[in-house]
Amino acid sequence: MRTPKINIEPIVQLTLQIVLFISLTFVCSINSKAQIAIIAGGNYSTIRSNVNLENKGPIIGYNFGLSFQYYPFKNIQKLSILNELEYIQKGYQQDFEKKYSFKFNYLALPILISYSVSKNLSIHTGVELSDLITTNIKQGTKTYNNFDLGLVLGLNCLIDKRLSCYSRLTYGLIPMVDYYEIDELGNFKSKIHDLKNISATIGIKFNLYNEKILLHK
Amino acid sequence: MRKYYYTNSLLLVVIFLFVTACEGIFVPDPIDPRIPKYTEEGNNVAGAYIDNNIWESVVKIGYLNVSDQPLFTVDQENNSLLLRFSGSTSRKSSSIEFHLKGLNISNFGDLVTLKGQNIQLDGIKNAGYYIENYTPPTYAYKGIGQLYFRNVRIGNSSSRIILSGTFGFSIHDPNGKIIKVSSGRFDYIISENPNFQLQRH
Repeated sequence: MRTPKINIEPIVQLTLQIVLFISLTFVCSINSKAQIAIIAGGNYSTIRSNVNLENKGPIIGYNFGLSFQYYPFKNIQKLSILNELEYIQKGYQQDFEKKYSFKFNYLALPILISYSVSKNLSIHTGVELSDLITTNIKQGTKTYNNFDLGLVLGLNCLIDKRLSCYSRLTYGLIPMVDYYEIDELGNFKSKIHDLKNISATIGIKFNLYNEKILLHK
Repeated sequence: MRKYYYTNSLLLVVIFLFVTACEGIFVPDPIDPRIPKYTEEGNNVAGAYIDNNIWESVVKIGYLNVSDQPLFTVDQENNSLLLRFSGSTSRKSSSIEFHLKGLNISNFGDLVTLKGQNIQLDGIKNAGYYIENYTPPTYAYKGIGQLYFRNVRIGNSSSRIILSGTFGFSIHDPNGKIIKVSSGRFDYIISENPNFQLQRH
């Protein structure tokens, strides 16, 4: 029922360090090869919780953004790093006499490692850092935590040179809500840190640029 | 002429700000969106479960009237305080009342002494009521439970106090059936006028 509160600041610091490390890896690599792509798709989102959320159901959302794929390791061409910047809609709904939908619009920065299993198929895994930018809930940004961190696991399938499709599962790690458990008499039993995002995404990736970037002559 | 135009515009802005400041803000509870989230911001809302139904109170300001306003009535002679939270259950007008004694509230400023008080509704000295239709026998059935003033603070001016808390009680209806008022919460801005009154004998 109750989970310990996660201190977000060290996580933010750690992730920033990871981002910096990846960026430096890219900048320092001499003959990097990069792919720049537009991504867009739909996602099926819900929430997992320890507290009983009555009549909970998933919602359908969408996502779009830019993807940058680097091949920083000359000797391991099957391994690449995927950095994305995307707008993604997550959430859930509860059905009572009427439907209550909770939509959370995040600006997400997935940092993924991709491995090519075959010429057309690759798997990727990593983390997704998200910042809640808007929600359909009145004063929702006061109720829900702005920062979210999720584990990502996905597949990418190359259709042709420029077009590929991807599917991805994002498993939220950080509780979205810090709230109180209030019993029937109105006693404040304990603080709860609960509600974590889960979303499954499918989408299309359109490569805009697929040339070697020469940082040094 | 120009001066009057500016004065009127300013007056309209002031009225608009006053009205929007008093209008209830229903922030849904993250666990059950049918009831308001517990807040301490003066959102002018309250909510509770009445058995399996939802009672809610959201202060609304119309052109000519204000609905679902809370009312605090002090009877200095009997050292009693009456709290009336007006709202609706399944779109039917209803209210929740608390009749409290011995709190030594004699004026508006004394309301701040309620902060942190967890009042046991014993059905004798203090009682809770759930009222759908006002009839004299309504007050014959006294609810037993609890009323907790978790936070009380002075608002933007000393004539406004923000009261936030929770409640829960059980009461018998005229047919002998038990009505359970549970997980109640309120967050009201109480103004000296019109939410507070001294009862004259």
